[in-house]
Amino acid sequence: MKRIFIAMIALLLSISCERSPGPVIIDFTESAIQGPGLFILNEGNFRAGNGSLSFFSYDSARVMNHLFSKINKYPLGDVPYSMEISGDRAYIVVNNSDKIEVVKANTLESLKTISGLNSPRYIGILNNNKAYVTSLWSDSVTVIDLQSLSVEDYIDIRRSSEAIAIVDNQAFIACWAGGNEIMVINTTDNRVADSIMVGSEPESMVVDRNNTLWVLCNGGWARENFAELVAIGTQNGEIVKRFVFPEISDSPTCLKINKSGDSLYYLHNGVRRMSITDTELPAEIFIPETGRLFYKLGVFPDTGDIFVTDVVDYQSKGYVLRYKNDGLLISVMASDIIPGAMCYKVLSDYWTE
Amino acid sequence: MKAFICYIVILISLPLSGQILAQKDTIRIDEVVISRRGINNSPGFRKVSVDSVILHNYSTASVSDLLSESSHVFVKSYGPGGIASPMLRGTGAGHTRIIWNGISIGNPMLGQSDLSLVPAGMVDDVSILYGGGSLSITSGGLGGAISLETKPDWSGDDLISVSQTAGSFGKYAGLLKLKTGNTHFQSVTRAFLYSSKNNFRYLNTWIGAVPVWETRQNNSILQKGFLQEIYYRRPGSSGSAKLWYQSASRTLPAPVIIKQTLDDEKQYDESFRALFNLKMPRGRSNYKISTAAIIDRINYSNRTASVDSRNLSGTLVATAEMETPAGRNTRLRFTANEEMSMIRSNNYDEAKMRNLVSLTASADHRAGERTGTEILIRGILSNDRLLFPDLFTGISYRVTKGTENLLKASFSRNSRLPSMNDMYWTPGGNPSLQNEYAYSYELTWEMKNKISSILDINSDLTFYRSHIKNMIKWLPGDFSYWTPENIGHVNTSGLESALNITFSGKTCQARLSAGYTFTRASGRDTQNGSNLQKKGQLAYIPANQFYGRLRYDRKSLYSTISTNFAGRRYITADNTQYLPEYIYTDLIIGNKINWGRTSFDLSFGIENIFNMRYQVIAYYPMPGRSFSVRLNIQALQINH
Repeated sequence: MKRIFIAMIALLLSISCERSPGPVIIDFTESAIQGPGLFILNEGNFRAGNGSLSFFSYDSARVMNHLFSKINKYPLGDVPYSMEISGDRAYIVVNNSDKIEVVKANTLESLKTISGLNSPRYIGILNNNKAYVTSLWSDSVTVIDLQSLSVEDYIDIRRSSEAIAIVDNQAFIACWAGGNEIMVINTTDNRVADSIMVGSEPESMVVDRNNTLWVLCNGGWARENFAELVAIGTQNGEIVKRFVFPEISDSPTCLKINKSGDSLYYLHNGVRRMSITDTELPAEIFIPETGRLFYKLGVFPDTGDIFVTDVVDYQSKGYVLRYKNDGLLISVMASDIIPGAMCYKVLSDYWTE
Repeated sequence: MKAFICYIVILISLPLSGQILAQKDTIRIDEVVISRRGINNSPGFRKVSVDSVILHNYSTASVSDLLSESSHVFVKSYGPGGIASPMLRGTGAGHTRIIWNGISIGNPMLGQSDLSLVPAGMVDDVSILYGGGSLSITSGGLGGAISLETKPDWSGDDLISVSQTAGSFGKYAGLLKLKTGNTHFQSVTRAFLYSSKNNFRYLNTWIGAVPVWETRQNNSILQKGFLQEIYYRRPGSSGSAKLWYQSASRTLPAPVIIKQTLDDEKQYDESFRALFNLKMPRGRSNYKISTAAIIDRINYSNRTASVDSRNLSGTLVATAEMETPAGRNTRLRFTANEEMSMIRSNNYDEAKMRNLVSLTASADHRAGERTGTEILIRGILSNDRLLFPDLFTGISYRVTKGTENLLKASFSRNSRLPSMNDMYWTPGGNPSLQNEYAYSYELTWEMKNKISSILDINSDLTFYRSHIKNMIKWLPGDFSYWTPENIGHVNTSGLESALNITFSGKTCQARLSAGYTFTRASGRDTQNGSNLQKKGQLAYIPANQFYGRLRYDRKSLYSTISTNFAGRRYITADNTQYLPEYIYTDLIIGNKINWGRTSFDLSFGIENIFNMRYQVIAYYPMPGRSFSVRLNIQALQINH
């Protein structure tokens, strides 16, 4: 009997070797992120911690996945939501991990993790010293000191906040979740200077070549209000144009603009495109979904290429679709789970040769 | 290494210490049921009952702990005190039905049960009915059903039993059982209390570049329960009344990859269950009437996300059953069942009601000693909508006359209704959902061999296959919310094997139990008849699973070492990420001393003795090595 016990214990020990109990990523692609391209933030499933970072490289014309965890040896976090590049740094806002990962833009090596945030959504970078971070579940916008990479202050706007656009010394903050306002923060004293009433649930914003702020209001999830596209003069805060979507069920999202700042793009049963001088919303679909599930949109500044993410079923790995600026499909590339926001990595001298 | 050597020394020295401390023991034999040597009561399907000795050892633990450590059931657990869902034969949590004394105690809103809130000490018998075999007691268990039963003990003796367990991470559990009565009337009262902070340490290697030791926060539970049973029996009838109240207040921890916030997420569960049974034999027929009322309250709050979900469900059940012979070897059974559920929730537009009426007819035929067959058909009417009937047919064949070597085969069609949340949750609920259904077949080889007067070997091997259609999945809709659709098709197949070896010596007994399962579960989504996407192994379904347990008794001393292995579990639908396999081992050493009619059972347990780091659900760490002490005092008053 003793021998049986000893043999059993030996067997147990032989198969009880210590190893990391966390998730293991199987397929892995080496990254070469020195050149231009765009980062894709794969949100992953809420609370599953399987968000990741991908990169489309113009050099190789392919998407490389799981870059952050491969380079830094720990997962990116839960729901990486947005990303901005400023100088040689990139700021990755990880929504449900309540943090911002600061990395070197060219190598993705971690520089610091900024914590002390509450459900951060977007970061708006004012200059080399200051940035503003919006928050879904708090009433404050967080001010980040970009020198020390730490929280400097909180601005109480008494509302949830989402998209952010900075024009001169004004930060325009969209109050999306249940809101209908754009809050204006004076960046010189970090005080709320104004608020502008817009449509229901302003979801995304861009600034055009005339410094006009375009706000896409998707009408709210309960479909009680019509969606709207609103243009606001940033100098006086007045609404200069207002387009109301024709059906109560219309739910447009993800407003983007091209490099020259004269063409708007958004998702509404496909990709729609309109000029900033148009007097009506586009009736035609520029790029149809054709059975896919479009989620986020990007227009690469230097090439005008249109990138759209397809989330498939929100559970499997999704795809990044690349179109020429005339709408012709160039390629379909596999990404990771729920490919979402995109961040452009532009090299100013790359396209001039 | 020192710990390992100590463990070996303790284990080997047990028999010696047993000889030193041996005391005169009194063995009471439980009620013995003698029946003719025919095929047993489960023609064609696999049914496994948890050993009563193990059930006793886990009396202050939950049924989820009991099953995950002593059976083939894979329990998807968020950790100690957290929500735990059973997953049988590669199916989801909603495909295993939990049946308490014949009635379903699954929450009608969720369509599933949280096994971590069912104390093992509140039941006397736990059985697992695999696959289509679950149709004999319920519909909807596409993976199977777990049957929990309380039973009278008609010895007429009075009993007081108190069990207390204290352990690591602030764990305390207490169970009181009082039994009194005579051979005609019996009252059993049970009370249960469990609390734990579950504030164990774990190494967080996922939060940043440098791993840090953290303490699990927001992980406490306080659970209380009370069960009163009344039984009576007379020559012409017998009956019972059971009232079960319990509540659990929990703080729910976040996955360790996100910030831990104190008191952020909470859940309060409260349930009241009342069940009345009446059995009346008339001639060669038996009649049975049951009524039950179940009230469940689940309040969930998430401060950060501003969620305050309040949900109240009430279910009334009425069942009438007649069993009558048809000829010498056939028994017919007819069952009518009505189950009415009403939900009030601030997540529904208005109060919702569902009425289910089912009629079941079954025939059980025994041809001599060698063959047993059963056929069952059940029609279900759901809110005036007649569903395609469920069906089960099974056969058992004794391969060699006079032995217990059986070959079993069965085929079934089983269906599961959408949960009330699937249909009415706001936003997204889809009232037009169809029911999920599965075609399943299985083949079992079962052997019970008495090798000698001291050695018994039992084993079984089952192959099964199941095709599940119309699987309900929540998908993104046209707007900002998700909605459920019938788009999934899942094929599951695999094998289950079990081995039990019992050695009964003059002064000692050893029992080895082991089981292995292989599960293949893959699916594809379809819409309008065309495939959308083919999937690999379904998430959180381990292909390989193993458990082993060795119990050794020598006079008053006993020890149990058990080990559990779960293989790789993919955590994404496309199988690009997985949780690595884990194995953990528990040890219990105890001494049961009888002093007159009072027994003292003191045991010491080490859970996860090799301090393995593992996760059952991604980013929800499980505790490392922990300790517990359990004392059971049982006093018996013999009344005859």
